[in-house]
Amino acid sequence: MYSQEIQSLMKSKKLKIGDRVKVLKDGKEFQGFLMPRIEIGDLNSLVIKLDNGYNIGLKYEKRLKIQKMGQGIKLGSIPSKKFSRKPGLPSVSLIATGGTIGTHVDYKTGGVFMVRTPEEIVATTPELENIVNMKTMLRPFTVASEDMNHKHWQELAELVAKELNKGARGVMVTHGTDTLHFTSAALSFMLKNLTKPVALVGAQRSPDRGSFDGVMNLICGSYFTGYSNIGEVCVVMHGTTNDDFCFAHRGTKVRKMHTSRRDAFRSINEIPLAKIWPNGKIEIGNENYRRFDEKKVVADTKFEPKVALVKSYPGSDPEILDWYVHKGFKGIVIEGSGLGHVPTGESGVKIGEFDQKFSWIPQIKKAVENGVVVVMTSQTLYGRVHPFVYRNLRLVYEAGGIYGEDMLPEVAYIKLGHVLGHTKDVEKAKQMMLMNLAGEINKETDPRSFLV
Amino acid sequence: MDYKKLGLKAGIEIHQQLDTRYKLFCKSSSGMREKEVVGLIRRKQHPVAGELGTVDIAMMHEMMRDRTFHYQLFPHESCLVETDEEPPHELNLEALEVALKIALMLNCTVPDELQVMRKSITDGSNTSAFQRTIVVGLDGFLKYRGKKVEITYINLEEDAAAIVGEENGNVTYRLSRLGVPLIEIGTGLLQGFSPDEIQDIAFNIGMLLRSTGKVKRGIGTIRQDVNVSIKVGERTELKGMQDLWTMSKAIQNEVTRQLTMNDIRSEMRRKGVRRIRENLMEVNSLLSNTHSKILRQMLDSGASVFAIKLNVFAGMLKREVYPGKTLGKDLAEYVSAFGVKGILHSDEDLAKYAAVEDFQRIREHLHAGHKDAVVLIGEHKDKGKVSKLLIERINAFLEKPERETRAVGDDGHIRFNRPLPGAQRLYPETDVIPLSISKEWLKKLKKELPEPWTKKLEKFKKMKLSDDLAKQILRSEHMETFEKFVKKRFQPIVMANVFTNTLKDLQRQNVDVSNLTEKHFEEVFHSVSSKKVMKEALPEILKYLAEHPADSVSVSISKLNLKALSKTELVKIVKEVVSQPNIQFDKAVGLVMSQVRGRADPQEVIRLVKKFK
Repeated sequence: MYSQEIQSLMKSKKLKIGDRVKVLKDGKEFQGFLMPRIEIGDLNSLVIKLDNGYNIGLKYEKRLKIQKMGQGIKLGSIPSKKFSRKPGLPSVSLIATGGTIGTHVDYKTGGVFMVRTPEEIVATTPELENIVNMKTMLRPFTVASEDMNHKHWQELAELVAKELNKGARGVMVTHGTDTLHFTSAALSFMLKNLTKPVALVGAQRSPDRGSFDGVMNLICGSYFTGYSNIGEVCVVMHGTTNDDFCFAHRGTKVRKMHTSRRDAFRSINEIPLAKIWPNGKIEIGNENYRRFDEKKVVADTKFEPKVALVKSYPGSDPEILDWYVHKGFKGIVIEGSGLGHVPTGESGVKIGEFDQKFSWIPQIKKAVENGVVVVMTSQTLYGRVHPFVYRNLRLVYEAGGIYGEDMLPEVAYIKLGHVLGHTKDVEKAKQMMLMNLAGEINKETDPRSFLV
Repeated sequence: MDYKKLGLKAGIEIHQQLDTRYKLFCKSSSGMREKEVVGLIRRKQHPVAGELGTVDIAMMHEMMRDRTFHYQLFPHESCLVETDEEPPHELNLEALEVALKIALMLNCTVPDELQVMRKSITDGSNTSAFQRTIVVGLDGFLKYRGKKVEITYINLEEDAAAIVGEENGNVTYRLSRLGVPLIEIGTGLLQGFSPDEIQDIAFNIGMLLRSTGKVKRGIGTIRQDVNVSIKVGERTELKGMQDLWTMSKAIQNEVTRQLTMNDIRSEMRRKGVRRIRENLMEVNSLLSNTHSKILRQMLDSGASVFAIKLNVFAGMLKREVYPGKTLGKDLAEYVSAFGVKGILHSDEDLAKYAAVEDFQRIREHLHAGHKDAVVLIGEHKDKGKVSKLLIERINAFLEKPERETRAVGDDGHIRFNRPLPGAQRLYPETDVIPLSISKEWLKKLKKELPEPWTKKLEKFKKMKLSDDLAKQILRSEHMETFEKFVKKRFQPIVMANVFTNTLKDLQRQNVDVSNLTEKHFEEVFHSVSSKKVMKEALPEILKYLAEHPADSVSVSISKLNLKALSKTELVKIVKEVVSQPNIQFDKAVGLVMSQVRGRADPQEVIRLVKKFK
């Protein structure tokens, strides 16, 4: 957005964004197209796109003269693709929700818009036409993944179930990457009796560039949904920084582990279910998965939103738990340290009141007494929490916290919302939290599953 | 050739790496010194459709080549920004300052606000498939022989990765070069200049860049492109000249090529041919008994050999498009851009290839008469596609001149590279915020501009350096040291010779002169001016120091026994020699010199021998 001064100048000269203009300043003449101002930089500088394609900024001053030379350029449109039906190819549905994979850079203005329709997304990867029939393409909503919440997860689960029950062999969901693993966990819990592949696919690089990583992710996601015999929700993203293959990660065992790399998504505490090459080869890496079947799936989307994910750390103030209890939260997942510790002030040599002030034990006790389900997970992400190895762990246990095995904190958070959506009975909820519902708990950990 | 009459127009584009500590958008070193490859990344790239839904022609060309890119990683010279795994960091201000100075030196207007742009690049040389570039100067000029040469733009941009090699659709690049700050300077269309003058203008710009003291030197650090067209031709971009002195030759070759292609076009039209009919067939079965080694190799490699009949084209393929390259060879280079090894055609000496009978058989099958030419191509992928592209190529130039880019070889040969891309697609790099350039900053930079190199040249000439030597020292990487030492009253001619000729000689002897430090040079020149050693002894001393960099100059002098002789010592030696009975003057000088070489001035020896004889 331009400054008030420039806006009124444009108004008085009847100038529109995109108009061809001539600007005179300090005896120099510049010709080009008037560009919109992206929200950064000097708002009091006109942005002109010169004929050689470069943009320059010209600071607005009284002595600057601007003149309209001609009609505006049409802002860019991007190609979209309607797929032709090819006999013999499996039918899958595509649901687009937003995120980098669904952004569109307007080449003229440089503006980034999150507006790609499913048809525009698949147009980036024409190869898909020879892999699957895109039976249906849907866009229920368009949001960046950080803006998602349980309502989006519920809507998505309903849609996916509907598509699968209408006959799609699988469903591919395009999604922003930041919270892709929250959505994959939510869908894993909500899609009961799922026996068909559901792939969540995103991109770490934008589609405006030739190095767009979404191309391979979409191709591999299509093979996964159209051909694999895995009947689960998986995140399908780059396996390495190379454009070699994708991993299919189980929806409840995956996490974004890097801000920007292509291979940011890693399976945690588990070996990825499959490797998928862009030529269609699928190699199972972990036999522990639900096999493909044509059964009906049920969208069981009840969810208790009053659950929280809280991190404890050295020096953290335990009173944060009081706030949640006071606000009526029904469940809290604590991301503790190591095997599942919180500060207790009970270890080593006492140095007075100081220790007690930081102890989380009284607050955990109070929460439990108020009927809040408290689940302990670990910020190490890798490994399993354990209530008995150290005395401090036992204190949490005695206070009524339950230990969430090898569940990821985010997954435990989603699961707790799901479980409390189904029962108000605290004891039953605790039981369910420790039961494996959707592959989120492994009772044995494969030694090869660390840092893969 | 009368270039004015031919309507020669040329635009120069110069790419010069800046010698900054870091790369343009990250904190990796821009040194490009590392040799050890510590990792390899494999990527694919995909054509991105533009606003109108069309894929650029140059992009299509790349897509047809369907290549895999391999990127080599080097310690400290390639981070996640270079691997396209992290957004760019803030702009390198050291590089921007140099770029702004160059813009001011070339009388350009600097925009009030700089906007980083992404320019689409499709050959894999950028991991992101675009190059970040900023226009820092517009509408400037350079004075050349009393005329104003227009400087259209000056951009500051990221250098691309350097190609290591290409084999079977796999291209390897070094990431150490990707992101190194690069300045790009484009002139307006130069008219009324000869190829030599155009080359000289490029030289002038290069010298101006060097005068900043902040540009990299050595092979590959400066690359020149030149757009060439004549009245009867179309714009051809001659790309990648690392050696400036090939520019004039390359322009001459290109002008000749455009003229020849025009001649061929007119000649074919006179013969009534405007298009070649698409007439081709696979001929593997006709070649099963071939005696030709080259054809046998094609068949053994699993290729389908296609024969193309070019009607009324006999003799054309052996026409030289410019001295040293036939049309046949030029077309062979064209198809090699699509992964085909080469072609065999009827205008070649078929007996040499033992393919006379094969061609006869094929001619019969194609119903090709003696006026027709026949071309054989061995294809591995999408069979017949490249053969059709070749026919298309011929038809295209028969219709009208083609716009394309050509790569320039060291010898000035120009080789088909790819079609000229459409208007370059640029769009803003939104990961970097626009940068305002204050008037105060520009004012400050103006005060810091280096002395014009032409003034320096005059100054050096006043030091009694020859024109050639003065120009050499001006281009030498030791120029600043030279100027510093001049102030210390060391002898300019001695120093200039050492910094140019002596070092070059030593390099030729494989002496690693990069071991020589400023301190070495200072001590060496000091020894000369204090008459401790003769200037004649310098090559040997420097060689010794390069090989033993830890030793001091005095140690090297005594080890090599090169201490200058005192007058008394020299007189003593001369007297001994001339006292030999019946000794001739020349022999005496020779004998003395053999004893005092490097330790006495030869002129002085001659004088003394004369005196005492």
